[in-house]
Amino acid sequence: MTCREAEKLLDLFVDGELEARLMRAVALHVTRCAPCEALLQQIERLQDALADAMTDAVADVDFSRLWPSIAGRVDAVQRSWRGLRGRMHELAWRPTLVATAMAAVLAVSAIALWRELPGATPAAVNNQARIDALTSDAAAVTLLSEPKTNTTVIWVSDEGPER
Amino acid sequence: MRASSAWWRTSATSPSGVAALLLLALVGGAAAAHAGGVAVTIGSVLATDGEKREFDSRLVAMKPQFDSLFRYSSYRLVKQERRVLDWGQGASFDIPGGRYLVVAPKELRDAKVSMQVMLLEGGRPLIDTAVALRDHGVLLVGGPKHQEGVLIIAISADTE
Repeated sequence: MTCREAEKLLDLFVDGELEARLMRAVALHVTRCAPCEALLQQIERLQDALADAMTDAVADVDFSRLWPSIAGRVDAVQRSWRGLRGRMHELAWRPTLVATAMAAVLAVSAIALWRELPGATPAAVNNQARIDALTSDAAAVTLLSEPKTNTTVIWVSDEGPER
Repeated sequence: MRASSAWWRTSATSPSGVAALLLLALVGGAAAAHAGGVAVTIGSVLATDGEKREFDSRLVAMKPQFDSLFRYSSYRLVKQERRVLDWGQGASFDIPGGRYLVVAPKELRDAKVSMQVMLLEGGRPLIDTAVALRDHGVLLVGGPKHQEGVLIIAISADTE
């Protein structure tokens, strides 16, 4: 990739909007080309400055009139909730409906709980990874694996394996 | 509006209707899970040796793995970044020491997130790898020297 090609893509690169192959090509070019790296850092600084300016602008917005507007809407929601409760009361005498609804709620809760609980599955942490391809410019690359959680480590070193 | 209310009342008052609604909710939830792409989180941990033993409390979930794999006395999370990426979309993450990590998730297959991971330092790729990492799993890339220690980069991918 030439500097001219890279320069056109730097904005998209910073935004993470490039297709993977181009993303790699730009990243490789930038790490090998000092002027393009400087340009990339300029773009990043500009984006940071814009983000800071936006944050400051939001901090200056007057929210004092926002709450009365929200409070009005909350009132409306509460009114409709009271109406719903009234309708639920009318339906409550139907035992089949109530039993079915309770069963559905229990089923959904159980599924949600099962999915959320840490350790709910036999293998609570499983970091299993399959390395399909690996190339490196480092002097040494070591692959390590932690057996309990199958955590894979790719260890790179310019002085050979050390740990 | 009136028609949908009638449908709701009919569905909600029959057991089969409730079952259908339940099924709809579950299927809807599952479909939504993969619609948002993949959340990639990169954590840069500085591992150092010294007399003082320290373990950053934000890394507590990784402590058993770190204790088993490495023999450093101190681990500190120096940077963390999370981004939600579309499949096929790459993103570059700044790593301390002027390095870049490029991550490009490709697909979710058999509960594994296939992705290209590239760590670049000073004009050369320290690693360029194609990896299939278990969904919600963590891959560690370590070794680059930083300050008085080494960096251990934790890469995790979570489909949403």
